[in-house]
Amino acid sequence: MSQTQTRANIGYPRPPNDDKERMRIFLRNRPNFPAQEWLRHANRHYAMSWDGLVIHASDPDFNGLLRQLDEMGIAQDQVVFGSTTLDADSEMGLAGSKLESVQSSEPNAQ
Amino acid sequence: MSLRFPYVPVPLRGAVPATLPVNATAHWRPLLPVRVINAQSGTFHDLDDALLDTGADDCLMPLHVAQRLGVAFLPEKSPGARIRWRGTWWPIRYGDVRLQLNDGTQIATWPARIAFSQALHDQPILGRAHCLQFFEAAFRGSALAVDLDPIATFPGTIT
Repeated sequence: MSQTQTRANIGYPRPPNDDKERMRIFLRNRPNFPAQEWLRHANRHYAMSWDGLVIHASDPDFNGLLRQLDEMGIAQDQVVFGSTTLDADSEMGLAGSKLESVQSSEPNAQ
Repeated sequence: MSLRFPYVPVPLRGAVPATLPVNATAHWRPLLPVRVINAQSGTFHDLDDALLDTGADDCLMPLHVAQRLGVAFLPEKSPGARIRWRGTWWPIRYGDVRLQLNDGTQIATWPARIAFSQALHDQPILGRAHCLQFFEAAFRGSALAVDLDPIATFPGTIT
């Protein structure tokens, strides 16, 4: 089931043509994004407005998120994509992951 | 002149960790907005929350970014590379893109070889190779911000 904020609509303001101005606005707003709203989209892909003020839509599946944006008439180059991976644990380096070159095949390698 | 990015609060869920004040509501992390660009087509994908990770060897992005941009993967070496994400191993593929950091006053754009993974709920990572290696990075604990100063041999453009 998708989650959508009502503010997200075709009428959302377009970003400035100047990429620096666009980013200045985003960086001013993004750290102040409401925690409770963020938590509503836990463990989902989301599309945030270019100004960092609203999450237009979220979905467990990235392609599902793109479909939602299409249905809402929101251009994909006017959003910022992300995903929330919230849990009660603290992360401990490399975002809880380990990257390596495989030296030998293992049964659980995918 | 450095590019400066404020840390982003990631709300806590559950108990407050013992290392934070009892009334803490978030972890503050160096999560940066980054633009991934297909150098051939010019199409781009804006990511909200790439973790600037001094402990990561490579940059790692979600596979769907490569798919959406049509990034051509490098030939896969045998037996290949993989990433362990929360207990499960996932294959990774490498591709060449352009990365762009924009702090509102300067825009740094450079060619980068990126690993792509299908790991679920993946956290984009900006690691040493093809990212941090090109910057003098200062993590400002008191200011909750990170400053990135391109080195003299920065391989891209600063505008």
